[in-house]
Amino acid sequence: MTRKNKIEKLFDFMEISHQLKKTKRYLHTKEMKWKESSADHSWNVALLSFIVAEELNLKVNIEKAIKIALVHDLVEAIAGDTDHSLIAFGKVTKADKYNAELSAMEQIKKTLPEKSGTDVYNLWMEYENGTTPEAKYVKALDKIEGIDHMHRIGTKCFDYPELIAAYSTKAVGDYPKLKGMLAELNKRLKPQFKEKGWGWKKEYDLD
Amino acid sequence: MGKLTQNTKKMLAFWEETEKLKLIERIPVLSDGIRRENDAEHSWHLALMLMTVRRELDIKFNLGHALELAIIHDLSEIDTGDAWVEMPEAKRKKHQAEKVAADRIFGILPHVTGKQLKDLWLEYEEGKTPEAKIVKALDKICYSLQYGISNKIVWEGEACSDKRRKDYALPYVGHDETLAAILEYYSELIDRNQKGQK
Repeated sequence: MTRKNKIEKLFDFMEISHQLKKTKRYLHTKEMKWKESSADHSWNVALLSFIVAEELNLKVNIEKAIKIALVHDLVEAIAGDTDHSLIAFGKVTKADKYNAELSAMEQIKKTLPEKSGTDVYNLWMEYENGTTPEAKYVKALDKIEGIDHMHRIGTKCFDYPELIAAYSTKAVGDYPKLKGMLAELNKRLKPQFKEKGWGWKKEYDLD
Repeated sequence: MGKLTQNTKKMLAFWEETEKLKLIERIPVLSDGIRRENDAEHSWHLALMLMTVRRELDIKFNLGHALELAIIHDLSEIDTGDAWVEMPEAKRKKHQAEKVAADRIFGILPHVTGKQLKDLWLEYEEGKTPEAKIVKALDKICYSLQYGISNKIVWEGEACSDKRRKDYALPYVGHDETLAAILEYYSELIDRNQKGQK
């Protein structure tokens, strides 16, 4: 492939990935005006992925973690954001979501030249499989970022207690070095739960 | 443990502060024509571009380092906004204001990490290292690119001339032949789009 073809394909990729700036998150919440885009969120997770690793002295490959963070939601440029409430309430199965996202990723891969297309595909797959330290780390940050966002917007966006307090426990359980961050976040969520008249279950806290 | 908790609190305060980057509007509009893109979205897109360019084209730079620069390069705009300035005096003033902003924002973090980020930010501003140069060049191309993507949308009567788009990026790509090729291709693309519309 000539350099010119490659550059052309890189621009095709930029055009398709730009869709992520229009993909809205938190679709289950009624409050409309503060919904952020998946691109916003991906930037935020990428920022956290190197600051938190430095600060907590984590043994992860930072460059790889940043790359995973940058592409972890890229499929949503085509498949849209499948809100986690849809899965929690059984309206969409995990398998359906995965298949739609996989086919989106195959499409995205094709827009890129071979090497970078394979890179992006593999990074996303690594995130989905969640077996490497970097994938686990970014998954935990992804959830913590989401909850921190809800916490900051405040109780007006709190629709379902389970989707907030229990949202990040599994991912953080799989990457226990972020337990301290989750504990601090939970400390801040508790008064909001009280304000809302919701009970705080023991299982929300990881020891 | 005390120090760790203290640092965790500082980090959360920093998250809270930097979330505001999502509120800083840039000039280019998104292709839905509903709103402009914001600084966070732009920074993400720029980082993604760096990743793919590094892999495909013959430009040597440390990717991890460049990604960090791209992700934080606009954080000072949380305080100053994304102002378009062309005059040298206005540029100097903008830079001064951004420096004050960077001190405030990175000062929220625990000392060592805060200093590290401030140094990254300064490196980008100075634009001397290979990483700072490539991030700056692609930053300018991204600007034009977003304009190109939403080309057909007339937004509140604003127009950005093609010449201006090319001229804007030109001083930042001249040092590298591959970057110049990217800009050249992009300029062709703009011309083709223009013809297609006529």
